[in-house]
Amino acid sequence: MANAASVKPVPHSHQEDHHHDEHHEQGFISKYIFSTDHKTIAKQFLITGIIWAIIGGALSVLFRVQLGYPDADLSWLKPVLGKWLDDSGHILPEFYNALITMHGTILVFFVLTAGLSGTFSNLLIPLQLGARDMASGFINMLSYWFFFLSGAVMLSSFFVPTGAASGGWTMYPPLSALAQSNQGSGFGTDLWITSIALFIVSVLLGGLNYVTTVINLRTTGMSIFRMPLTIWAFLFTAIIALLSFPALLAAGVLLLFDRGLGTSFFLSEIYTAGEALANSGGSPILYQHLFWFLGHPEVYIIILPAMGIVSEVLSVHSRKPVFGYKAMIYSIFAITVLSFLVWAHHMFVTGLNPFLGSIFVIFTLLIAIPSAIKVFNWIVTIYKGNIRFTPSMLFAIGFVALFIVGGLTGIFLGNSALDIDLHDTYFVVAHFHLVMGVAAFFGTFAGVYHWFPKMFGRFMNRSLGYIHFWLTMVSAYLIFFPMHFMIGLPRRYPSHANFQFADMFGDLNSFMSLVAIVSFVAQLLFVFNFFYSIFRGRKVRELNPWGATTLEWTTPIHPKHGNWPGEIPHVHRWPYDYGVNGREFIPQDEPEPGYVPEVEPVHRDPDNENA
Amino acid sequence: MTGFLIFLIIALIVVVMFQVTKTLDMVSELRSDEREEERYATTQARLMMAFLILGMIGFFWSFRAYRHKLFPEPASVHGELLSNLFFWTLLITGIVFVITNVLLFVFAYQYRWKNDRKALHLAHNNTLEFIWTAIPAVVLTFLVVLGLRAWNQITSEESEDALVFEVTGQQFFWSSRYPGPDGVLGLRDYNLISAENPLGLVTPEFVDHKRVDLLERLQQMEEREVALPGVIASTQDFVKRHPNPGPVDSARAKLKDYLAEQKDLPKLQKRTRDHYRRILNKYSVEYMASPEVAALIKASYDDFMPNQLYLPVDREVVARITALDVLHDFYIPFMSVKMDAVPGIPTRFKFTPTITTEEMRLILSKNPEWHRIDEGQTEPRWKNFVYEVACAELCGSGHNAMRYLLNVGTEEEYEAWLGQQTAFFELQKESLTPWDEALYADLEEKLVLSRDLKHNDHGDDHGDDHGDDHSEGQTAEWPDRPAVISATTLTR
Repeated sequence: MANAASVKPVPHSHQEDHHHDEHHEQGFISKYIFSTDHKTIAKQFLITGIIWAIIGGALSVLFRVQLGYPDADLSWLKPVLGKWLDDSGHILPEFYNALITMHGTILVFFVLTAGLSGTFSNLLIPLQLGARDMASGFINMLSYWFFFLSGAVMLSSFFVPTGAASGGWTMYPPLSALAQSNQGSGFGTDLWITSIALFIVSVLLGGLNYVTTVINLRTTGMSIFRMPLTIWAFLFTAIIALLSFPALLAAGVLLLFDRGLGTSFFLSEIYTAGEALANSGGSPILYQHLFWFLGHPEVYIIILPAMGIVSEVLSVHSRKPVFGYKAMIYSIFAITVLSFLVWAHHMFVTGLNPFLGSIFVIFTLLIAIPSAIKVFNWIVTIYKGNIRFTPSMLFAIGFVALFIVGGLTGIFLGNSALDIDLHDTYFVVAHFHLVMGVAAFFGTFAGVYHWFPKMFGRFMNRSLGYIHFWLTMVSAYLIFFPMHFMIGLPRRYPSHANFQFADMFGDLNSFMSLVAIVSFVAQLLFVFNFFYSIFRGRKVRELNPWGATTLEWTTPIHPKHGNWPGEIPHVHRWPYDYGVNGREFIPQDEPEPGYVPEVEPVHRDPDNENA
Repeated sequence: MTGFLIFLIIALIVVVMFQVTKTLDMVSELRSDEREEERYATTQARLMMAFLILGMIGFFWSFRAYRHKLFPEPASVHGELLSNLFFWTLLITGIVFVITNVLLFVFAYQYRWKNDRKALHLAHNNTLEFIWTAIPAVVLTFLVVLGLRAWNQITSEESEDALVFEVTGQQFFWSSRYPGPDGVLGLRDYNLISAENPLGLVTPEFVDHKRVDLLERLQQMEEREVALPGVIASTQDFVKRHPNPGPVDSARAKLKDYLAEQKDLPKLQKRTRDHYRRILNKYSVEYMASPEVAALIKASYDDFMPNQLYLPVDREVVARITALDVLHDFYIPFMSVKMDAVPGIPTRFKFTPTITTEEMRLILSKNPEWHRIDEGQTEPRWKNFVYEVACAELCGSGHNAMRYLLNVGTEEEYEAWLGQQTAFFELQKESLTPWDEALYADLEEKLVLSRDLKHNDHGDDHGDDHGDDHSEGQTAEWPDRPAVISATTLTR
């Protein structure tokens, strides 16, 4: 019986590649570094994302110290921060701006785009659809390495004499276009634009692959309405990315022209550093349109994969089907379409035509409807379930809670009139951190705890997972909930002491900073748990530890390149058959009773894979 | 040192926590009894319930605890609309927040894992789904209607007799301009900005002054161009002759600066000549004498630029908002006024202040947050209250320093304040250099016009010169250029 699959001649051509791989040991480099295996690439995205998350988080701790403890003497950090501290050990305003800029850029792009969608799209699309790999393994590999290169360029900008880019993650010109107006707008900004351009290449290569794979490489029987919600989410995420990221590339290139070639796309009638510049006819607002044409869909690029993961995790651990499967799909579709029609709600106070503003109000508040449907469906998904409180389930429930509170404040901000009060204040900071920052992190954590056994063949430590969850959950609320009360406080101020109206949150700021540091340490617990469990975690002993229905759990515990040693399983049912026919769950590849296969399926003995 | 200690303590806590949890996990695995899942579920579900209860208490408590930190009653007409809208949105979202959170956490608690529980297979329910699509749709329609009514009112055209004033942001301060007795703001041009004319008001005198200013700078550059090679040679010489490092280091640094200056000088000269040419091209007699322009120039003479804003209460005002260098945002927190200041694209914001500074002090005197006595002050904060203007769009390292003040007084107080103001032109006219045909005509010819012709003949001789090519085409027509305006050629 042993190795039954590998001795039997199989007609599939991929299978032959697979044999090839097995018999000739791959070198370290082609197996772990320049790998074309989607599972390895997923791990590369995840680990790189974790490293960037630590960097991005550390930057936020630094500026939280500045906000919460403005008198703290940071001289002991002088060896690291050098000239960015003044003589009494305080962070210079220029450096503060670089910190918030880099924090935003890193978290939005490197962590919550590449780290989240890069990891789980890569891991789950082939595994849940029943494919040997992505449509193009090579392009997939390129996608990771462009991301890596982009990160290397961004990291190098910290070491430029004039400092990293400091125009805010939105990089609005003219501030970002004129080196004489801002130190960080020197070479640091050129590097920022270059890095983002490389990143866009990475996203586009990855996205093309995801879409192609979902369309072409589904296994027999995997009709589109049998795809798990994760796949639906990844598919629409990739479509949004493919359509919106090019606009940012255009904005970046035009900005580069304005900076270096003297063009006037975004510049007009500027008097700076004692000189009237020749540029005329450009519009800084044009940049904002281009930027937010990506920038708003970007938040859905971040949150949709998290939503997909959460739908899956809630269903598996409640032992219940996702409530309203089709409604969930139509909601994702509606969100995808609407995400392209709301960008100017970031620009209500730029002098936008008021009529245009009204249109964007309507579309923006429309998007609340599919979002609300999703929330109600999640809540009903756990109703009358039998909930297994794994760490991934806790994070999934936490995601729903955070998405509710962050989503509801979006209703304030989407109304252009109220936005006059709230624009660029801490209310906005609270809103987007809850709804797309922390919530997306919760989605990622849910996914990591849930699919870690698939990735590494071991479990993460459960108790540590609980501690990690509760510390993160409580601190997320303690930091961002009180922030709503800083309702008129302008953001991106290193200190509010200059203003009477704003100088009344000292205690609250200190408290929030303290909690921020605690939550940062809590994340280190996760990082420790993650790396420790890769090598020492409890071993997975059964193929399907969570009792899930989807195909990834039909692969061996340590799947090789090619995923299934035998024939790819066929799909006979939708992915949410929990609690039907008196059974706890029925896997997707189990035929309906009375099903007669056309061809005798190849025998498959998963327990002996590693023999 | 403290940092290191803190790090050590944190590391220790992490290690201890890890060891404890690992032991716990191992114990439970050893026991391996089938009630393990139930035990986990019970603990976590209880924690969920506790989180819900404490969270809800915190939610309601925080409104009470922070109520004094919120803005008091709105100090503008549209501010009232906004607080009304805010109230309705808060009420609706608050209800949704409580209901959904209670359901989520109560379900999580209620349906925690039990070995003998069977989950209900509930895939969908069309009625339910229709209901919770319809309810948000209706509620959101209500909020959209309420919101757009406020929005249309805020962005509508101002009335005829609205008071117009102008604010301008630059790194890192605000300045303001009032139209003066004629009620019309005069013309501005960023090309005319100088130390004497910080906003670039357009009058023939200011045009002349800027021309002279630029010519003088060009002349200085010319002299510098001649002198630099000598300076550089002697510095190089000095560096060569002195082997000891002390003075040589500073000389080397200087040499580097000189070389950079020499390299940049042609570019700077070209930019300055282009600047000069832009002025020549624009301010022809025809242009200045055309009725619309002439009227706006005339309006410049009585504009005044106070060092803080003053507005009359209960009168509609319109802020014309501009920026000189990068994006700024004109923000008056107490009045719900916020609008970007965009270089090259003036924006506007219409509002009506409803509470004078004095009245607002009285209101704030009832707020405990404003009873604090600030460092270096002898009186509580409310006594020193003045409306503040801030910048709400990241504009560089001094973003949080752009504080400007606004006072609101009665109509009489405002009239009295107006009476104390002097037109900006009156203040500046003594310090303006007049155009002297005899003195400057030749200089203009020598430093700008002949250079332009030469420049054209030789093609682009500064290959590294980027930018402002749009005025290049003009130079060929130089001999026919329009007669430039000068204060002496135009009687106002």
